[in-house]
Amino acid sequence: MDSQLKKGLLELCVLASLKEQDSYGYQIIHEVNTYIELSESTLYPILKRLEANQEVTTRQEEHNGRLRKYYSITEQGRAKLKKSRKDYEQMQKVYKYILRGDNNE
Amino acid sequence: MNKQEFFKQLKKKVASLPKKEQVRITEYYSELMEDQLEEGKTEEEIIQSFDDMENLITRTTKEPGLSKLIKWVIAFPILFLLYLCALILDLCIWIISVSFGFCVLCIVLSFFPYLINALCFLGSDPLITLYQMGGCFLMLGIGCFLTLATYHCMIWGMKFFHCLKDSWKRVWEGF
Repeated sequence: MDSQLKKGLLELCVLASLKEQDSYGYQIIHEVNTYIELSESTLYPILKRLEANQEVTTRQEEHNGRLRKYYSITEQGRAKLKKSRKDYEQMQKVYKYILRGDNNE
Repeated sequence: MNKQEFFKQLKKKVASLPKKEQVRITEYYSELMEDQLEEGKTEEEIIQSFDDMENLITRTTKEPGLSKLIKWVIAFPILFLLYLCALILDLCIWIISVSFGFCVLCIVLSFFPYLINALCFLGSDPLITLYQMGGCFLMLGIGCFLTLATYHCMIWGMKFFHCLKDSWKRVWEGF
């Protein structure tokens, strides 16, 4: 997959993984990896960027005697996910145009 | 490589970064390690599943958004000038509030001599006393108004300054 396209998709996937409930680093990787490859080192700058853009917030919670960082999606993050639906519909149209007639070959 | 060696190498590689970022990265990997150890994986397995140290550092410390060069050469001068203008505006608010403060001080200091002066005429010419007392209370009213103006100007100046400080951090990190 094109790296720029993947970069944008990864951000959306991380936001999507927080849609229903707050999550932590390892769980996010585990969940997103089912759909698209995401390594630990790739996730770090994504989370940092999402936090800087106020699309996620963080809090620390105690877990088994240590602190674990939890991420929650903000209203801004949800708005970004909503916007992605429009992008998806547009992309679908474009790809239909690009790949037209390929099934017959 | 075991956990201790991994973190020793990691700390060495991130040593050139700001202290806060060093701690953040170390905590991030430490949490990932602990979560997987709890799942029953061994230290070696976990470290092997990570990228090799060079890639791990390059990817982890990759500046999001604009490249460092563009950020400093283009974004910084523009942002700096914008924030400088905003800071000058904030300074003006402070100067106005300080001058209001001085006006209040002058009014308060001159109110009492003016009042005494007015009372001196009480015996000889009560009309002058009445006239001067009116002036005294007018000054007092202006003084009260300026006290409020000083207070609000200082609050606005302070809020504006904090707003600038916070937004600079967010905007700069956002690039």
